[in-house]
Amino acid sequence: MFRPVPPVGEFEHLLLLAVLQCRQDDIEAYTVPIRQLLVEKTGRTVARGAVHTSLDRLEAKGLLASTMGEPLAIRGGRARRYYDVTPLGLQAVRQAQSAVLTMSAGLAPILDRRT
Amino acid sequence: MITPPRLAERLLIRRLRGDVWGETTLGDLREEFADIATREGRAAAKRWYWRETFRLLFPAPPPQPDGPRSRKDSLMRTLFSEARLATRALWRQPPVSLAIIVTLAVGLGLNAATFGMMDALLLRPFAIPSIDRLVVLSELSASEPFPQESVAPGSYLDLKRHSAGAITRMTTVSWWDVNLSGGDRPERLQGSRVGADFFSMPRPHTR
Repeated sequence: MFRPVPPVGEFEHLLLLAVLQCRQDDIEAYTVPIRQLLVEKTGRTVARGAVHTSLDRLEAKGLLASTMGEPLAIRGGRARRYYDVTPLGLQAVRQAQSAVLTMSAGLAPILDRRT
Repeated sequence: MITPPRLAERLLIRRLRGDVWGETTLGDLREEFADIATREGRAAAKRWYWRETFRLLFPAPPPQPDGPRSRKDSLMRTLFSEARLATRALWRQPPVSLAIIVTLAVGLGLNAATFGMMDALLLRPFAIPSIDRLVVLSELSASEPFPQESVAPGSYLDLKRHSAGAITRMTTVSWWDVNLSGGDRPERLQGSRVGADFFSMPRPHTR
């Protein structure tokens, strides 16, 4: 059944890219590395709550899928929730990337300027 | 295994109770704590854990959406918001916070001490019955513009004779500083000379 690709906000876009980055680097994508990637790569302060809310929203939109892991001693007996980007999520990322590229086409002289 | 500060974790467990992300948050914090403790040492990890605890206990207010905003906010909301902002500001700058707290403590202490003294000396009435009927008589003369507490014996007797009916009882008191000798060393004493009817005057109650 055809399902329209839901639009994603800027933070959601970054979050999807972070999950993909984890997959690319062979790292399990759960809240800790996802947030660390966002902080390191964007240089922003990222609140835990913002990550949790957006992960919930992306899952509800069908762009992410999650599975619960086993309880771990290092987490005080708590389990991790692992995320992966769904095919629909991948389409959403492509669409968002394409929109950014289309909108920024021809703006290199302005965007590359230092001042 | 290295565990985070117990008190901080308890506070977080309490704060995150009922939160669907509570367990994940606690697990993440434990994991990150262990990672920092391995890389930077236990003390740094503890400091980090307390900072995170504080952030979760007092989260920053969410950004206001654009557009017209309600002009009025509930009193409690405003109070909580102000308290939260103040606490965060204090936490971020410990030396400044310490200076503020010490200044406030000294100021409040001095004020409390001053008020205590003024209250005991000025605000509370003396425990003398019918204090509103008690008066101190003094003399004024053309050559001495200021009231004289000492009254000449003749003037006192005149006053007593002519004020019968207006003043119920009258007595005399005058400062009397004396040197007490006869012992090993002479001693300076401060006292008062009083009239014979001084001790029949109303006396203060013992509190």
